[in-house]
Amino acid sequence: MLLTKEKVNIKEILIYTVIIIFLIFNFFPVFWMIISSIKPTGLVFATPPKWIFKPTLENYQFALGGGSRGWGAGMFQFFLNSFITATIVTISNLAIGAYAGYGMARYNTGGSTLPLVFLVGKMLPPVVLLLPFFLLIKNLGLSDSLFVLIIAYTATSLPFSVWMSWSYFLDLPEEIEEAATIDGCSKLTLLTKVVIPMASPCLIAIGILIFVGCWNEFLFASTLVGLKARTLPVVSALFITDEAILWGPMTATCVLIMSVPIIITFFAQKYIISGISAGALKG
Amino acid sequence: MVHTKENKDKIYGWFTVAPSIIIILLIIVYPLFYNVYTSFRYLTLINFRSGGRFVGLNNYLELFSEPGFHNSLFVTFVYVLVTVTLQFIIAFLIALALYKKRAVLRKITTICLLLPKMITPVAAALIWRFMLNYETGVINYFLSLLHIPRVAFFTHPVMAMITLNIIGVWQSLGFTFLLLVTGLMAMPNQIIEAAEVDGANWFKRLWYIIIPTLKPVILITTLFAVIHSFQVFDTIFMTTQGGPAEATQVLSIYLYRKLFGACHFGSSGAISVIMLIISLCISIGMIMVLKKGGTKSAVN
Repeated sequence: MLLTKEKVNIKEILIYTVIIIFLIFNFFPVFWMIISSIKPTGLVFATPPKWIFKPTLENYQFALGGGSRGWGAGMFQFFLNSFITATIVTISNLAIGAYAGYGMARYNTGGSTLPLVFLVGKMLPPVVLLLPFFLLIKNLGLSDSLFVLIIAYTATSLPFSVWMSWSYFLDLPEEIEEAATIDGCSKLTLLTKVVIPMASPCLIAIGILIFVGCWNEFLFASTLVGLKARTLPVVSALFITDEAILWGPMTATCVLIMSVPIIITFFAQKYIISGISAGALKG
Repeated sequence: MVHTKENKDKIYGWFTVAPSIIIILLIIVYPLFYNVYTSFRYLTLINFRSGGRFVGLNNYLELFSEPGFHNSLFVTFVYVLVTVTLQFIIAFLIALALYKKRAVLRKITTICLLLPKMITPVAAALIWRFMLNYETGVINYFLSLLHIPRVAFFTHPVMAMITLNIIGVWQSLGFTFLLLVTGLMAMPNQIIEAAEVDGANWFKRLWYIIIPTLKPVILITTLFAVIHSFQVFDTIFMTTQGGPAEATQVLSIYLYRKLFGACHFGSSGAISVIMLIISLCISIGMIMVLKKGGTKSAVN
């Protein structure tokens, strides 16, 4: 800590201590989950908790298919389902949603009303769409395919990406694009050579937030599709069986699922922070 | 039609927006209307194929006379109120401590607080359920070290609500903190410095200078926090499932129960419409804040 300019006084120490203790509390659940996932089966529930133990990967082996009740090769399929869904939704959001935000900002399409329509869409609780989605999918006979999830996620996350890219392009100076147009740039070259490179921080932020959002989604994934299109969050819930909760493998599965958003958060914090604050505070 | 540049640009502008509008009309707006349509019909799993029959406002009237629904409205209100108030106070205090100096600690705090927001809510709920287990949970063990008797975190009606509030605060604190600290850091420095020279104390500076200047950001942040906690589903579903005895049955869980437990589609349509109206009201509030001066002036 650089404390050369500030006087080290009691107040300063107190503030640091309080905040750091608070952060430790804040981080404890994740820490405890990781610790528990590498404990031997007998010690997961030991009271008082064992702090010193020989770490083991048996829970992971069980969760990934080693044990008799594990999900076997299924786990890889569920991982693939999650990954494919999140990737396709992210790409379609960038292609459709960010493009719309760009058009709205540059050509003033829909005036000041259309952006607000997307804001309202962004505020919609997903659970409101549960009943109509459920009934429509039953009527159309679409159940148990990743296609259902991809469509549902794309539609529900579009308002967010439109709103975010719109507010970003409003702040981005127009001069470079104008100069390129005067030089005889076609709309397509303008987009690929000028607009996309300039907007890349915003596009990355949208992409990350959409990807993590899809990766984490549970409500639609657990109700709209069946076994074949199951994604990882639904699987973690399945360790709660009628007889018992398989805490060991469950913590291992949870750690595996969480590791993706945690790694993304650490490596892309700059984009996440700018994305969250820009998406909410500009308008 | 004259193909001037202006006209071409206008057409191109609509061309860029068209795919988004079509998708949203088809997959969000149409289902919402379908929702309204369902809410006027008697529709269950049995007569589902035939499309049910029209019953007018019956579903709504039934709902309004149901104690379970009143309870859910009340529980949702309490949940949102407590979660938002708590998280706002904590986030605001940390933001006030960190916005001017202590930049290193600010960075660490931001990322630490944002982590719970990013991790899978289902997994997060399961961690808490694991830690707060009555018999073997680690938190009850820590309490026993302090000679505090075991707490029934999920099975006592009031305690279950408090527990869910804490989980909710834990999850969305980072978001609220980030917005507030961004707003505070963008505040013109001269105003605060002038107040410091005038000899105003910390509380007076906060009450008369910081809060009024920050009002748009505070309003937007609060409305976002309200909408986020109004949408809560995963954490409650994975921990108490609305129990014990409906003590934590917020509207989204109530809707889920009506839909998949009772298979009463008409009634769940009516709940969806009511939730939709509530969220529209919050959105309208937000639009009013944005139109009235906007946050732009406060942030930039």
